[in-house]
Amino acid sequence: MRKNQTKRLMYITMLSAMAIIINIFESTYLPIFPFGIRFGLANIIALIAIELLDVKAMLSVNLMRVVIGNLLRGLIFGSTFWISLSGVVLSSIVLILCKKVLKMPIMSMSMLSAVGHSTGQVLMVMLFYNQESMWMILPYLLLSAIPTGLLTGFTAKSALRLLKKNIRM
Amino acid sequence: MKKKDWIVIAILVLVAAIAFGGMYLNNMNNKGDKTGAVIYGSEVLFYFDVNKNATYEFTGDYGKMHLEVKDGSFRVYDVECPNQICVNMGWLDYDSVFAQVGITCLPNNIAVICETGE
Repeated sequence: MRKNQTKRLMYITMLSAMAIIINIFESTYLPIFPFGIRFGLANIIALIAIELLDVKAMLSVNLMRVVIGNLLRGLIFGSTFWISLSGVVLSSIVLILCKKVLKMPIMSMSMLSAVGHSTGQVLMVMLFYNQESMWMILPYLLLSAIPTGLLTGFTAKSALRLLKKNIRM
Repeated sequence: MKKKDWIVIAILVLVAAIAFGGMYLNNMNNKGDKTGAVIYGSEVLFYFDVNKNATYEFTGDYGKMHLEVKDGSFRVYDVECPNQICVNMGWLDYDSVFAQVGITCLPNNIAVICETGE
């Protein structure tokens, strides 16, 4: 039992580290499309965490990614920090619902959590910056969640196939 | 790809289509004289005339920003901000749906919008 706990902690730590690296890489080197559309590559790690481990592991990986990722980039407790935090919270809630209640396949989970992420961010902007008309970019974000969600979902699926073959929890 | 995946895609497309429809209907009722405004937080810094070609300079939380108005479109350029999202938005036509959303720079806490009336 004790050994398993250590192993679990190790996996959570490694997944968090990967998520943080991907997060920083994405925000620094990949271009941002109009309307703030992004790939959301760090979502791959969240999907791997929820499938390989469990919901708690996914929550800690997601929170660590936002908090430590923003800390490393020197943006902590700034406006972007709160916006990405609200996005991550909403997308985690959506992921938990998809996994526990609706029992969805991984591709749908990926797309819906991308939707949750952008919706959370837009809601935060609307609330804190008094910009009610920001909802107008949501349809574009919804449409863009389909290809980016499929991309991250496919990557996570392929990674999980290899991981489950080679790792015994 | 399973059946549920296709259902999710269909729902997303449907919701987006409905929202787009609503947006364009909303925009059609909104034609008319428009005024541009530069908003800092919840207060208006200044208004600008959308039909006059000009450039403006103003300062937000992060640093300087520049606004250019030309032939019924506007854009921001030369912004002191690491993300440059607002610059990547490019030119916005003041009659388009997006003029109401405008260009927003979150690090600077500044929004450039365009609305009917005052």
